[in-house]
Amino acid sequence: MQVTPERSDGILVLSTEGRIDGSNAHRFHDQINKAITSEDKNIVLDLEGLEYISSAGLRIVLLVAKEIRRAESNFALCSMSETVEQVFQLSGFGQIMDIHDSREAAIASFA
Amino acid sequence: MKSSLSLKIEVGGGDSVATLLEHVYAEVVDLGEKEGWPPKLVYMVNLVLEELEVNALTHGRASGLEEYEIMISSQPKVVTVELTDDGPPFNPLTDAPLPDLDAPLESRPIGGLGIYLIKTMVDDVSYRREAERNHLTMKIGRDQ
Repeated sequence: MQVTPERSDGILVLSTEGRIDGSNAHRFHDQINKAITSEDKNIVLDLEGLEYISSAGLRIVLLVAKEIRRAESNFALCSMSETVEQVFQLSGFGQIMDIHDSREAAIASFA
Repeated sequence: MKSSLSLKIEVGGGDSVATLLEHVYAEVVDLGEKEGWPPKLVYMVNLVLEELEVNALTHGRASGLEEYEIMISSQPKVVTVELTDDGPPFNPLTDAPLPDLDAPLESRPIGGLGIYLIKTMVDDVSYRREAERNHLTMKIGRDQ
C-alpha cells in the first residue's frame, strides 16, 4: 500500500495503490495525515490503483472524511474499480462522500 | 470437478495478524487463479475471510481461542467458505453490532461495517455451535 501526494492549482491529490487491510490500515492513515497540511483546502483521494480495501480501510476513509470536514475543507474520491465502488456503496459512503468516476470530475466538483 | 483449500491456524503460534492475513490472501489468490474465479469473487472471498479472521484473532486470543480452521471449496456454481474455531460461543451474525448507515458524516459511527458487508455480499451464511466449536458457513455464487 502506498499513498502518493501531488499538488497543482491548489488541489491535493492523494493517489493510493495496492491493498488496504487490517494489517496496514494504520499506515494508510499515517501517510494521509502526513500528506495533508493546513493549507490544503481541496483534497482528492484517487483510488485508481487500489486493488482491495476491507472494513479496516473503510474506517480510515471515514475518519479522514470527518477530519477534512472539521477543517472545513473539501473532499472528493475518484476512479474506484467496480468492486471497490460496490463496497463503498454498500457501506453507505455514497450518501456522505462525493464519489466521482474520474480525477477530472472530482477536481471539477470543487469549482 | 471440485477444488478446495484447507488451512489450520495455531492462534498462539506467534505469527502476527499481518503475517496470517498475507498468507491466507496469497492462498486464496492461488486457488482463484487455478479455478478461474472472476476478480470480484477473489475480492469477496478475501474480504469475508479478513473480516472474520481479524475479529477472531484479535478478540479470540484473549478468550482462549487456540485453533482456527479455514476450509474453502470451489464448486462449479458456488464457493463455500467454512470457518471453525474452538473459542467461546460467538455468533458474529447476531452478536456483533450493526452500523448506522443513515447517520450524517459528522456523527457516522466508525466501525461495525465488517459483519454487515459479509451479510450483504454473500448469498447464504449460517452459524452453528457443535462439539464445543463455532462453525460459520458461507456460500458465494461463482457468477459474480
